[in-house]
Amino acid sequence: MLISLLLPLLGCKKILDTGSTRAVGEVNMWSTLEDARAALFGVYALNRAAMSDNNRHVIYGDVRLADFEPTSRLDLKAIHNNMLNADYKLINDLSDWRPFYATINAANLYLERIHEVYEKDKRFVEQTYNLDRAQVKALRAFTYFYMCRIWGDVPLILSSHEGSFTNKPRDPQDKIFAAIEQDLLEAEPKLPYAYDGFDPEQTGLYYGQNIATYYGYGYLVSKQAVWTMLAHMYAWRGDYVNAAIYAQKIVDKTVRPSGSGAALAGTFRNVNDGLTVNVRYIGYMWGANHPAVLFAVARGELATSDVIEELTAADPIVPNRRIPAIYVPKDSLFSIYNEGTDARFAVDSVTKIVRSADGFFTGFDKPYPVFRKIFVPWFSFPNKQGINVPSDLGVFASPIVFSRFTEMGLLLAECKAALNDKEGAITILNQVRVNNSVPAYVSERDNGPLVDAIFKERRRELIGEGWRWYDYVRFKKIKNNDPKFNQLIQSGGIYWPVSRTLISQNPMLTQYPYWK
Amino acid sequence: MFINIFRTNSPKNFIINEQTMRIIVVLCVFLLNFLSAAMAVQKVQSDSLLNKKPSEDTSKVLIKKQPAKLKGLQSVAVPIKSKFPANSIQQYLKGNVAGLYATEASGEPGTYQYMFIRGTSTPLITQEDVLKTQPLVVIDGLPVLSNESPFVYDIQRPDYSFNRIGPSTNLLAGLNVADIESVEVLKDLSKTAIYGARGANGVIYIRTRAGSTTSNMSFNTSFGVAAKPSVTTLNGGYEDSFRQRFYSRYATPVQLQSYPGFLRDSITTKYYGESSWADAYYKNALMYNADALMSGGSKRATFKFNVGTQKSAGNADETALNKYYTSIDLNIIPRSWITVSANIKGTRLDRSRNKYNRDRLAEVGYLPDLAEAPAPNIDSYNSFINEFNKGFDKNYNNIANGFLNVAIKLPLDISYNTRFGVSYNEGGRDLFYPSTLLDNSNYASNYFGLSQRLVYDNSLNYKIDLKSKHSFDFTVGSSIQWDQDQYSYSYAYKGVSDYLKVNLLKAGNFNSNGAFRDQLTFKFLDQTATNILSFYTSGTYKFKDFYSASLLLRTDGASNMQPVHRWFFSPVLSGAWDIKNHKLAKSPVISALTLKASVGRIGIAQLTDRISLGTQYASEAGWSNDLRIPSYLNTATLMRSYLYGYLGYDIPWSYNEQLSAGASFGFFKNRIVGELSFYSTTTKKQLINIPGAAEYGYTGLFQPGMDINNKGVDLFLSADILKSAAKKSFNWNSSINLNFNRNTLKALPGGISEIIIGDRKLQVGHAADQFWVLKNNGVYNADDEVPVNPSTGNKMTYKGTELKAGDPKWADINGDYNVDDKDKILTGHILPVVSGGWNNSLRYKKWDLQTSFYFNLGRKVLNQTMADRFNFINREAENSINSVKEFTFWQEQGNAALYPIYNPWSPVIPYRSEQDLFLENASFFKLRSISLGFDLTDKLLKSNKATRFKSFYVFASASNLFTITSYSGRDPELVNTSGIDTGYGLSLPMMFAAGLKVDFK
Repeated sequence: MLISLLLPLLGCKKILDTGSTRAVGEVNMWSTLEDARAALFGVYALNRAAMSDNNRHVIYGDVRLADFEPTSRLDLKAIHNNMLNADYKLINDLSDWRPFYATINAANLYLERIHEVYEKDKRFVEQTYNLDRAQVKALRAFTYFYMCRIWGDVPLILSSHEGSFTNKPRDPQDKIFAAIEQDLLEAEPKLPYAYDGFDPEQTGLYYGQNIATYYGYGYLVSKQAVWTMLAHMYAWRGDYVNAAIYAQKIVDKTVRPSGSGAALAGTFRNVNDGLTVNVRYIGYMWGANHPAVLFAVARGELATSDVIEELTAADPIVPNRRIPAIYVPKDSLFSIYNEGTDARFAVDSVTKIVRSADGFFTGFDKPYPVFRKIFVPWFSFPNKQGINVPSDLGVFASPIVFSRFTEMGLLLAECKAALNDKEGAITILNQVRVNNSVPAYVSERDNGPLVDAIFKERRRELIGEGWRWYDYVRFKKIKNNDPKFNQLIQSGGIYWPVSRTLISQNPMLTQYPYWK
Repeated sequence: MFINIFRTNSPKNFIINEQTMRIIVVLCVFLLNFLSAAMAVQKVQSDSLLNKKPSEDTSKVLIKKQPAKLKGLQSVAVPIKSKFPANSIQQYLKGNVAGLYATEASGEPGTYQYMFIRGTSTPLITQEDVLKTQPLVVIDGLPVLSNESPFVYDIQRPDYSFNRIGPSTNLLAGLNVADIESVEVLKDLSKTAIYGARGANGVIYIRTRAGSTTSNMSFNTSFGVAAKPSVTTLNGGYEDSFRQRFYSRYATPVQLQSYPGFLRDSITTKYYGESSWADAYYKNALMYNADALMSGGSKRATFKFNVGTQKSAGNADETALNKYYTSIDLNIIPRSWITVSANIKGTRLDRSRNKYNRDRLAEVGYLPDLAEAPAPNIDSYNSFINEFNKGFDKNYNNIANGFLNVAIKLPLDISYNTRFGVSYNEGGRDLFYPSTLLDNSNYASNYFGLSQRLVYDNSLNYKIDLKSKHSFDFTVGSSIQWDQDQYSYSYAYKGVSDYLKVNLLKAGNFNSNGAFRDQLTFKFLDQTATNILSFYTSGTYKFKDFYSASLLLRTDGASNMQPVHRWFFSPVLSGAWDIKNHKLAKSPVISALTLKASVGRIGIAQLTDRISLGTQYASEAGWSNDLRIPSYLNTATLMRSYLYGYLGYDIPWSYNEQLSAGASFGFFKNRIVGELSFYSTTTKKQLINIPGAAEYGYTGLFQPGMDINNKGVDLFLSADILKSAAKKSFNWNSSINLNFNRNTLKALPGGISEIIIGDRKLQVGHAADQFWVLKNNGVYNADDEVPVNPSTGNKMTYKGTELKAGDPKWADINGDYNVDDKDKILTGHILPVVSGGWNNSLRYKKWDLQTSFYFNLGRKVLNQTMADRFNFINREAENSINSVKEFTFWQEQGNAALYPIYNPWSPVIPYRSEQDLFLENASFFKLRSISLGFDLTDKLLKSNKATRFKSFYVFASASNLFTITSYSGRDPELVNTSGIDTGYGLSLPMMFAAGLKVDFK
């Protein structure tokens, strides 16, 4: 009897150490190759989460003072009109930078701890160790760059500060850009052109998987991805000399040094490059189309919300949605696509029939034209006539593409124009124009200012890809002829306000004067 | 966090077919009826042969099923006389126990009902917070599983978490209410400490009917109806005129253009015709219960066998709960020194749930175009039901509780008790929505969850009596509790056909199931284990019948605590002084008076195993609107739980420090009896997720150090106002029970004075259950009425947006000409300051009349239903889960005349719910039940000597007859634990029932 009374004492420790099957404790992390891979893909996933959350990428780039107008949602209307102090949940969520800092914290933690796996698991070879660290550095830099475009000065945090999370004030952007530059320049030499085993930086199968598993060439950070990041970072700061160097690399680099593997660059008319792929990831740099990557859907990663189609798709491409949440008004379409029979979008002014090979827009007979350029229904189903039509179910799989070949080409044209290499700029611009059946740009006398023409072309080409707002800011900075806008830059009005919740949690944060 | 799998996990299935269960129960009831009749006849014969009397001693021994009682406060068992047709323990106890507050947020039978004993020890913000504060329920000594584990919420979007995934059924509806013999609500440490960490929120101790040494049969049944309510229905014409007030005053031409489509065409009858949906939506619903009990035995053994069924029904949306139960209770004394008791109870619950569009879409996790409203006519409702019924929504639970107890008497007054108990619950929800309900895509989901608790308790007791003056009682004991929870859940969209309804948990991939494609099939499973280990010792010293003092020392170890803080030591000291016996033995007025007091502390273990891990990684690749994504590029991910919050180490036990004192008394030969007790409980070092560390990626940091105090008074008073033993006299007993509770937040971690969590603010010195709202002072009729800041010349703003005509006059408390969160005030209470009941029982001859009233005072409700109705512009425009319209949209639910006409398009969102405009006093006084009974026993005995009924009693009852309240909404009880009336609770139906109770000899 006494024994039974005291029996529990013997099993004490065993009874109370249940061990969780739901999460991994700190002591068990950072020891195997699998941990390393999961942590790396965790950083990628967090970056996707930050950009997908509430469709941030679309709303930051294409709704705020941009071409897409909300139909009825008052919160989106406030954003469209730059009323970012309005107390809507969406605006509060979008002015919260926490999801971006989750990526940064995960990256910091990774860079601090990954050596433990390298020391413990022999399968984690030096090449992978260097390569993965380079990817994480590039992702950290990318995230900081993304944040600087939205909020301007942000706290620069380059270590995990495990357990002692002290409040930090904002750091000046120059300091952040220096850190971004350093990360990217360190990462670049260690990255391959593609994860297909043909480059010395990455040989054989990557984590035992061939490139199809990673949906091809756009979704893991490559050399070219880092070049696009560098080019955009320099361009954003107005350093067009350096921006041109990296944009030029993309445009020039069509053959890989190894001589084998897929070609790296496409043509200047490739509107679907990267956009027909049925996966929901971040395309850091979309090179050329590759047949192996099309129409693969990741199980468990499809979602019903926070894809651009949630906002833009409606009848006739999604029959059950009466009207889209955001749309480009007809008048804007007429003024944007106003040159010739643009392959991307053109309407016969008499018959109102949309005449366009690529059909960026459809439903022109309805009050709200529907954006069709990025429209990746998860699957097609046979209808009653046996023809495959997109599913009525609004589940979409479009990726967020940061940059692609044509985008880089137009950025190079912008650099050249800014650096007064007009001829070089016109050459590239015309490649894009001609390929889209738009008459060639001849001269400033005939076609108006070159810079304006380049930015107009970007607007036409990149509509809906999250560039419009940033292009507008760079354009205004190059022109430097709008005192009102300069005032906006001066007072921090080109940035988003920092969420009031964040300021109440961290009193060291300050708001830009414009948003006070 | 969850582990996502791509293969099917087929859970162990013990699902009893519903039909079979029904047949078995019906058969058993009939069998028992037959047996009881037969036995009654036999009894007549045998009794006449042998005039045998049962041994009193044995039966007494046998009925003692619970461990040794500890002296303390609140030991009055509650004999609840009300004939309220309760289907759950919460409904049964509501308004009957001082200090126990039972919520009932919906009249839908079988939905969750939370209970709070003496206020809440933690701010009720998340579902986990609510579960943390729930009391322990002990049935015949076995601590049973009383709530479904909260870990499923990890994969649910917080703004879609209206229901827990799965059957989400109130497990305490699993107990057969008819089987309850008595209930004791243990509130003081002197009584709860024996249950250790598990009983920190109070204990509800239920005794069920025991076996007896005499043969006994009883049968009781009742039939009734949940009555259809009278409601005012609305149609498009009403809504149109409601909206015209805003459109005519504030709309711009563009806004006029976007007048909602369903209200635009006033000629068609679809929306502008008759509003007749309620005729089909609300119905009189049948309820019944039938319960049969057979018990019997001899000197050395007794048994009880009970079987029955109960159907509870709501009066709306065809909601119902069907319950089938059985229990067996055995007590055997093979030798005089050993007693073996065994008990097993089994229940099957089948729940018919509501068909709200919102709940359906939240489950589906997909929003179609929500611009249209359902049409308010009966055909529209019937065709919806017709489509709905092409699919199914099956919700079931199988609950089993059982134990084996062995008590051994040893020499020297030493006794030893050992008990092994099991509490088991499995629940499933099988769901199929046909494609006609959602964008041409059908939807299937299957859930199977299983919870299991094993308990192994041992105790050794030693008694010493010294010259009958001093007596000592020593106990040492240990207890182990193993809890395990697991679930599998799978859902899929766009099946090939509405006729292929496969169970996703059993079906393989698309190639083998042929119904749902793998890409649109999502699977989850999770499991968690929680173990608690305790050792305790207690000693009680008694001096005659005058004084007693006891000390209990215990140490509890919990697997949910971090390894360095696994164990917690708790001492409890209590004492009692019987003044009546000691000093007032001859007093004619005072017939009983005992003073009692206790002081001590008790640890509270964490609810989830995540806490024990400390800093941790999980596959949380999703974001706030989509938490279910586990991977990136088909590759597994691991990251810190940024959305959950940062968990560090060195997290101590939180504990209750309690001081209580009180008296139980009786006057005039106990014609007036009662109990009064004061308490002060401080729950210390609680872990709270403090929003912050955003620059490190986290939504918050878990930090220990929140202290909350609950202080108050419990009063129970019962008086036999008219009392006489004479047959034809009138007897009247009236009793009142009430609790006054004051909640105060004493400290927050790190000495901070306030934190803001979402729409709630916690401020040290204030109650933790307060609303945080803007103060509304009317409307600005013109732009020039908006105050101007004399120092800047700028007009008053709301968070930087200038206020204009048509905006609310919100009070600028801090005078900075900007209305923002700093101008919100803490006001009102979510939980009542005073709650209680008033019960009366009148008896005249064979008639008896019982009434029970229930009241709440000092409680407020945020009427979000009305806020939503006025905020139609934002809600309809955002096409979110908040834009979903139900048929009940066409029902008048409040008083629209109470609110000013603001500009609903204004960017300041004038009809935001967090303002005192929508905060209402929700004190109420309810007639919960009235019943009239008549005892037919004598009449039957006179008319027919052969029928040997021991008693024959018939009754009729009416419930939820009226409510007196100033609340303008439907019912002040229909609110969630945040004090918000969302309009989604189904009304508590008025119920009428008649029944009989028969005991056979």
